[in-house]
Amino acid sequence: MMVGVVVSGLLELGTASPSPVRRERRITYSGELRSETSLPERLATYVGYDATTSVPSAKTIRAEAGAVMNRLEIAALLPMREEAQALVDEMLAASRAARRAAGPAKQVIKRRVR
Amino acid sequence: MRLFETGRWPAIWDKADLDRALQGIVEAGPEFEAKFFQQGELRGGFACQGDIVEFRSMLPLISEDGEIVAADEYEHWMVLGNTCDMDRDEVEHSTIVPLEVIQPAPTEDKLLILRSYAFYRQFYVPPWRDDEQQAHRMAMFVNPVTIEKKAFRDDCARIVARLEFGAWALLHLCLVRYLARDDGRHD
Repeated sequence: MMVGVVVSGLLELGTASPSPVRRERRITYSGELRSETSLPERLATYVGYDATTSVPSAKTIRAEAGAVMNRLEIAALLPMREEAQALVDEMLAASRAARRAAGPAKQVIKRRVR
Repeated sequence: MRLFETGRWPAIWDKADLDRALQGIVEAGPEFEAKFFQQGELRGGFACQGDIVEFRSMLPLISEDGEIVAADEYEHWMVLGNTCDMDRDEVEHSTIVPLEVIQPAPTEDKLLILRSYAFYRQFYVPPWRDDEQQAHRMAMFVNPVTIEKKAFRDDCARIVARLEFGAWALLHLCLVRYLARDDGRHD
């Protein structure tokens, strides 16, 4: 489901006319909206996406989302490295600890109503 | 004045264009920060995707107890909402994410890693020209917040820096990568 939403989001992001929108189990076209940011559409074309009029299975969506990443990796545009993410997480944890030592981290705005 | 009468980014048509846009920024070396942000005057009152806005606010979120809470306070945020939606009257809201200051300031070795963009849950934002703190920050993709577009006015959420074309293309790729990476549920 999440992957489906993600793929739907990718299809919607910056797509030129017509704009595909996922509703229920179908991707529909919502009108003549235009985007001024062409990169996601071109990127989608580059990685092999095409807008569809029927919704593929969750398995297919997962495979397509994986293909996006694979092609980005193969093209070496922006390779991901777990050790880089770990270093960033470490830096941010240190920043957060220093900040939270200076004051309360959370204030309740609305209590949960059961 | 409507944004799109004032100019727009050139289209990126293929991988070569994309490579060129990215190389200009990722391989900028010592000029990385100078190439990251637009150097001219900003046109106020109209937020674009990737803009840095000065806007002191706490982060609203649902806590571990299911309560609505205001968490850490942030001074600067990045606009993630699409620029073209800013021009549409029927769209009331946009999306912003907080910029977390990295403390202590990263060493040169760590800066090299930050400029590689090999991590994926955040987007590295270098100091901009008029930033008094000259701080290194991270745009936190995991903490998106909805904002009313009308808040993007100088007396509320002042726009203080705008991405250059290469940095904006980089932001797009990082967003796509963040959303589309394998979720590992069937590993």
